[in-house]
Amino acid sequence: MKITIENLNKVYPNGNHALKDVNLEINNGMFGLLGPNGAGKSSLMRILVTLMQPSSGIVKMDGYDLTKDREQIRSMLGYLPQDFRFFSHLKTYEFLDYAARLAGMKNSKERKLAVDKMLEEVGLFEARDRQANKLSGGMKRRLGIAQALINEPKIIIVDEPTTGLDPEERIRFRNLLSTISTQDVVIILSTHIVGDISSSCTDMALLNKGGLAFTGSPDQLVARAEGKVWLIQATEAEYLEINEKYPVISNVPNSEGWEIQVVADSINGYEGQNIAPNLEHAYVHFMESNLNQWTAI
Amino acid sequence: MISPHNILSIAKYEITTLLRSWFFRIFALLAIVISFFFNMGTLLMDNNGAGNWNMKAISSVIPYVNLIMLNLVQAIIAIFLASDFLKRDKKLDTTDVIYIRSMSNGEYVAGKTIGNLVVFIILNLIILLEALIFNMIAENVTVNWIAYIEYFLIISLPTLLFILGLSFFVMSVLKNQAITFILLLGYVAITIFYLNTKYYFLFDYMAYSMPLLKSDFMGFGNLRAILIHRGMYASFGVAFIFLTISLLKRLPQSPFSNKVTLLPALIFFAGGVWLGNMHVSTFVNNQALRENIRLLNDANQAVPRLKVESYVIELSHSGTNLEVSSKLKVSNSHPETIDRFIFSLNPGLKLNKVSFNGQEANVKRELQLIEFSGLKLEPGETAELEFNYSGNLNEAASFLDVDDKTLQEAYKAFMFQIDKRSAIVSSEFVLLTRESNWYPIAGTGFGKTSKQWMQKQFSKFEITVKTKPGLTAISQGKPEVIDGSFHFTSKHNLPQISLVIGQYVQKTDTIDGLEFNLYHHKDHDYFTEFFEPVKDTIPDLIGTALKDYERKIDMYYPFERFNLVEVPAQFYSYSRILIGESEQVQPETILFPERGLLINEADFAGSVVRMERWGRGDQASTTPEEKKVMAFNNFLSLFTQAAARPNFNRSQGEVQVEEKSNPLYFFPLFYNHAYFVQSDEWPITDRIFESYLKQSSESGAMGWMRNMQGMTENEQANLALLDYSFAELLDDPARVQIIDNVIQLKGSTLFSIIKRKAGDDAFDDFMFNFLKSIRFNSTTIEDFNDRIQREFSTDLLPYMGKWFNSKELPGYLIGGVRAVNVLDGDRLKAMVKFRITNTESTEGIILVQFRLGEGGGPGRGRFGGGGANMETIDKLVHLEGTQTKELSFLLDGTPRNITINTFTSRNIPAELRLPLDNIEEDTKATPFEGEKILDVPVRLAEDGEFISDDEDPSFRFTVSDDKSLLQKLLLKEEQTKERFVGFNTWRAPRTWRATTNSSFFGKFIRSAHYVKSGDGSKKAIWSIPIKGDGTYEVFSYIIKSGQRGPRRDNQDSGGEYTYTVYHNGEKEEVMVDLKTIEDGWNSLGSFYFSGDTVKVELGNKTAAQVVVADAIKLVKQ
Repeated sequence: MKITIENLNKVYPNGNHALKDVNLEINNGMFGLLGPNGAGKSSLMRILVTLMQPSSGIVKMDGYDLTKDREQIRSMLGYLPQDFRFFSHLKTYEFLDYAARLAGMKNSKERKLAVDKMLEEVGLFEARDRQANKLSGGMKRRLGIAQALINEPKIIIVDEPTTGLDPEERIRFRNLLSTISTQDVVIILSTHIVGDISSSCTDMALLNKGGLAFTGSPDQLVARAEGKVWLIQATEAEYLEINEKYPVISNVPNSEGWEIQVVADSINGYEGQNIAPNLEHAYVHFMESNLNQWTAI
Repeated sequence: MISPHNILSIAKYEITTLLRSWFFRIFALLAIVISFFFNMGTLLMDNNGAGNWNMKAISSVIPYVNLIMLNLVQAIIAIFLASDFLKRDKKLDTTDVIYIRSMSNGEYVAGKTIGNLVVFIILNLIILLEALIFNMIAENVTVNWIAYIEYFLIISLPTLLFILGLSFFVMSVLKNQAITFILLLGYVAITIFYLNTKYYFLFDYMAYSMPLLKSDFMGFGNLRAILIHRGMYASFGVAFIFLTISLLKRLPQSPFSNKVTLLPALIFFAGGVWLGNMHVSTFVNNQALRENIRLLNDANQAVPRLKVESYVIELSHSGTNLEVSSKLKVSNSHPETIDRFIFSLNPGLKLNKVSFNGQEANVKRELQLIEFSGLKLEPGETAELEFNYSGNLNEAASFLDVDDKTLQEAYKAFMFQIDKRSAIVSSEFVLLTRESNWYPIAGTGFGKTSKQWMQKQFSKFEITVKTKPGLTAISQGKPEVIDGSFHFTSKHNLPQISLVIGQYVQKTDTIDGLEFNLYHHKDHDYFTEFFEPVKDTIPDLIGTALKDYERKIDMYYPFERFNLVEVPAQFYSYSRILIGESEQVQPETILFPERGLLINEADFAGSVVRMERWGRGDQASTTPEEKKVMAFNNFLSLFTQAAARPNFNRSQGEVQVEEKSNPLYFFPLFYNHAYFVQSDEWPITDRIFESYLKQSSESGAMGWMRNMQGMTENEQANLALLDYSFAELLDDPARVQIIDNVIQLKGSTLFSIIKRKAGDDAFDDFMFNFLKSIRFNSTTIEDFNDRIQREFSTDLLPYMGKWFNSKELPGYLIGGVRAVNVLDGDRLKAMVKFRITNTESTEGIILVQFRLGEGGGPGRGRFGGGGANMETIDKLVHLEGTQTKELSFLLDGTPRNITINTFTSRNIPAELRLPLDNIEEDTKATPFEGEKILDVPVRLAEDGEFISDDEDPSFRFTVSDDKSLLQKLLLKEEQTKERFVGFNTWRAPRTWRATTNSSFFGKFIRSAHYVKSGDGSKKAIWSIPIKGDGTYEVFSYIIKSGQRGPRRDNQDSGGEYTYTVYHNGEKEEVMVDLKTIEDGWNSLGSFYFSGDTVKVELGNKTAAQVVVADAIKLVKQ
C-alpha cells in the first residue's frame, strides 16, 4: 500500500490557497501529519478521503486515481474527522453497524461479530445501547475510531484522534493503531499532539501555510534540534526576560525561581545546559528557526 | 453497479432515525388517534350506533376516506421530513464518515427516499389496519379488501413520491429548510384552495379533490384518468429525486455520475409532462368538442325534423364495444316536402352503414350529426331508415346545455369525491340514457339558440340486447329472454328509453295490477333480511304510497310497470333550466344510486335507530315491526318529495341555504315521460304545465329558510321578475338557482287566470281529460288553447305574450284582519275577514290558506309523509289592477293562522303568515262567506297619521366598519351583500341589516333593520314628514317575536330600547321596556313638533341581544 501525492493544490472559491504544490509519498505504516492551525492539514485530509475535490494535482492510492476511482478508494478508507459530535437518532451499536454495512460488510452474522468486537476494543461495549448523541466526548471519539477501523480499511485517515481522550485511552488508542500499522495499511494521523506522532509514527510531514515544510522520520526532525534545547534555572525577573526573547517550552517553579526549557540556537548571558531534544522540541525549533512561526502555535 | 445492500442499509437507518423523531411520532400518534375516533364515530357511534351511511353504503369508501384524510396531513409532514434529511446531512458532522463510504450518490438518495417512504407506508398500513378493524366490526357493511390496496397505490404512493421528490429538490436548490417549508406549504395551499378542480384536477397532487370512488358495479370507472394523473405525479416525483441526486453535495463515485442522473431525471420529467398533457388534452379536446357540437347544432337548427314513429334496436355488448343496428320508421309531419333531414348520434359511435328504404344511403357525418340529403319525403309520407354503428360513447357530448364551470365542479359527497358519469360502457356494466344519444334521434341537439332538442317525440320502441352470460339487461317495455338475449317491447309510445346491463338480481311483484321490479347488484341485498318480518305488508305500503301520491297530484301513474334499478354512484345528472326531469328518472324506471349512497333513507337499520333516538312513536307501544314499516315508508317518501335536503354553506358568517331539487322525485314518471306540450314560440311551455301539475305536491317555500338567509328562492325570483321579464330570466345562466321558482310562479299565475274563469273543479276536470287524451303523445299549446276556448271561452294566447315579456307585478296591501266566532245556523263557526288592495295596475292572484286544528309544528317530518292532524283550506282570489276586495271566510274549525300567498308579486315575504289569536264570539256579526269589491283601498296610514318605515329612502342608520384587518384583507370584494339577511339573534350583524318577516311593518316589503346590541353608538334614524305644527303622539312598531326571534326559543324578552325624539329644538330619550310591549304600535309619548320633518333615533344600547328598527308613526292630536 502506497499513497503518492503529486503537485496537489487546493484553492477555495474565496481565493484561499489552502494547499500549495504538495508532493508526498506515504508508505505502509503510520504517517504523522503535523502543522499549525490553518496549515492545510484538514484540507489535505478531506481531499484524501474524497470529501473534497483538489484544484489540481494527482493523488494515487495503491495505484488508483483519487478523482477517477473513488469507488475503489472509498472502499479502502477509514476516516475519523476532527469534528465528530452530532449523530442522528441512532444507538452506539447501530451507528457502528451502519458504518460497517456501508464499509461493505454484507454478512449480518459476521458484521455483528465485528461490531461487537470493535465495541469491545474501544471500550464501548457497555454503552452499545446508549444513544450515540448522549455519549461523553471521549466515548464519541472512541466510537469515531471504531467506525474508522471497522472492516479493516487499507487506508486509515484520522484527524486529531486523541483529543478528548484521557491518557489511558490515548495510550490504548496508540497501541491499537500501532498494531494495525504493522499490516499492509497506511495510517495518516493528523494531530496537534506531537507525542502521538513521536510514539507511533515511522514517517511524518510538517505542513505550514499550505506547503510541505518537512518530510522524513520523527528522528530526523529531532536530530535537527540537537544542541538547541536548553534547561535554564532562572529567577522571576530572568524568566520574564527569557520569555520575551526565546520560545519557552516548559516552566516549572521551584524554590529558587523557575526551571525553564527553551529552544534556541544559543542562550547568551544565561546559565543553562543543553538537554536531549524530543519531537516537541524539534517541532518548536523547526517552526521557530525555519519559518519564524512561533506566534502561531 | 447499483448496490441494493447499500440502498437498504441507508434506508434501514433512515427509517430507524425517522421513527425515532418526535416530529414524526407525534404526527403518527395524532393520525392514529384521530383516525380511531373518526372511524369509531362514523362507523360505530354516529346515529346512535347505526353509523354514518355515507361511509357505510359503499364499502370502498372506508379506506378511501381514511386515506384521503391521512394523505392531506402526510403530504405536509412529508415536506418537513424530506427537507430535514438534507438539513441533517449538513448539520451533523458525523455525516462525513458516511459520505466517504463506497456508495454512489444515487444509492444514497435512493436509500434516503426509500427510508422516508417506508415510514409513511408503515403509517399508512397502521391507519388502513385501523380502518379495516372498524370496517369489520361495523354492521351492514362489507369489506372491500382490494380497495384497501388500490387506494393506497393511487392516493398515498404517488403523493408521497411527488412531495418527497419535490421537497428534496427544492431543499437542494434553496438549501434552507424554513424557506423550503414555507414555499411548499404555499404550494399545497394553492393546490387545495385554488387550483384543485382546474383542468380536471390537474394540480391536485394529493388526490384530494379527484373523484376516486370505486363502484361495486364498474370499479373506478375513470381508472385511465386516475392512472394518468397519479402516474404523472409519480413520474415528476421520481424526476425530482434524480435531480436531487445530481444536486447532492457529495463527490460522486465516478466523475460523470452526477451528470448521468440528469438523463433519467429528464426522462421521468418528460414522462410526467407527457402524462399531464394527455390528462389535459383529453379535457381540452372534450371542451372544444362540446363547443363544436353546439355550434353545429345551431347551424342546423332550421333543418326540418322528421317524426320517428318507431325504433327497432338490436344491440350487442361485448367489452367496451357496442354493435348496434337501429331501424327507424319515420314520417314527414310537416306540410312541405322534405329533401334534407338530420339525425343526431353520439360522436363516439362509428357509423358503419345507413340505409333509406332498404337502399344504402349516402349520408354526411359530422361530429354528432348525420345528414341525409337528396331524398324526397312528401308530407305525411313514411320511410324506413336503418343505422348500423359501433364503438363506445363520448360522454363529452352529453349535457351540452350545462356550462363548463358546472361541468368541472367536483361532485363532493361527505368527505370524498365521486366521478360524474353520464354514460357507461364497460365490460361488466352498461348504462345508457337518451342524454348520451346512443340511438339516433331526429333533429339536432342542444345549441345556444337551437330549441329543437327540448321538443319531445313519442315513438314506439323495441329493443333486443345481447351481452355476455351472467349479465342482465334492463330497458323499457315488456321484458322477455329469447335465446339468451333480452327483448323489450313497449305497448305504447315513449319519449325515450334507457338501457342498463349489469350483474343484477331481480325481485318482482305485482301490486294493484302494476308490475314492480327491483334490480339490485348481486351482492347488494342488505334489505331482504331486514324486512323479512314485515315483508307481507310491503306491497300494501307501496300500493298505498302510490295511491296517496296519485291523489295528491290528481294524476294516474301512466306505465304498466315500475323498475327501481340500482346503478353506480357515479351516474350523475345535472339540474337543468329547460328540462324538468333528471336522468335518474327514466320512463317506468328509476335509476337509484348504488346501495343508496348519500341517501339516509336507504339506511334501513339506521332509520330505525334514528327513530328510537328521536323518540318517534311511543317507544313502549311501537313494535320493531312497526319501526321497520316506518323505515320503509321513509324510503318511499324519497320518491314523493320534490325537495331534497338543502345545501347549507357559510359565507362570512352568514348561512346560505340553497334549495335543492330531489333528483329521485318520481313526478317525471307521471308527467314528463308521458306528456309533452310543445310551443315553438315559448319553448318553456311544457315546463309550465309540468310545474303547474307538480305544485300541488310541493310544500311551498321552506318557512325556516327565510330565517336563515332572509329570503326564499321564490322571493328572490319575485325580486328578479321586477327587473327582468320571464323571457330574459330564462336566458340568464346566472339565475339557474331561482329559475325553477320563476317558472313555477309564472305557471301558477297563468293557470290561475283560467282557473278563476272556469272554476277550480271544472278546470281540474278539463285538465284531467286533456292529459288523458294526449297521453304518450305530444301536443301543442295551440291545441290546448283551442280546447280551452271551446270549453271556457277564454283565449290564453294573447295573454301569453304579456305573461312572457312583462316586468309588471301586482302588489298587495292587507288590512283589517279580524277573526270572530259567529253562529251560522246552529253551528259556531270562525269567520275571518280582511281587506286587500292590489295597488298596481296589473292583475294578480292570491292564495288564502287557513290551518285549522291543533298540533303539528312548522317543520314537516320526513317520517311517514304528511304532518299531524291538520286541515288546510285553500282559496284562490283574483284581483284586477288597483282593485280592493273585502274577503270573508267561514271556517268549521278554529284557524291557527292565515297565510296569504301572493305568488308573483312585489310583496316580500311573498307568503304572509298572520296570527289569529284570541278569537272571541261576536253575537252581532252576520255570518258571510265571499268577497265584496270595495271602493276604498287599504291604506297604510289614516288621515292625520304620518309613518316612516325602514324601507323609506329617508331611513338612515349609522354605518360602522368594525371589521378586523384580516377580514378586510381576505374578504375584500365579497361585500356584494344580499339585500335581506336572515334573522339570527345569537349571531346578529354588527351593522344594521334589513330582514323580512310577515309580522314586520311595511308596504310591500315587510322588513325591519336589526343590529347586535352594543354601546348605543349604532343608531337607526327615521325622518318623518309632518304637516303642520302641533302635538303628535309618537308610536314605534315593535313585535315581540322580533326580539325573541322566529325560533320561539326560551329567550326572555328582557331589556329596553332607547329612542331619542327630537322636538322643538330639544331631544328627549324615551325608554321602552320590551317586557311590557304589545305586538304592533307602541306609544313613545306625545310631543310638540314644528317644522316639516320629525327625527327619531333608536340606539343599539340594550340588555337584549339585538335591536330591531321597523317603523315610526306620528298621529296628530
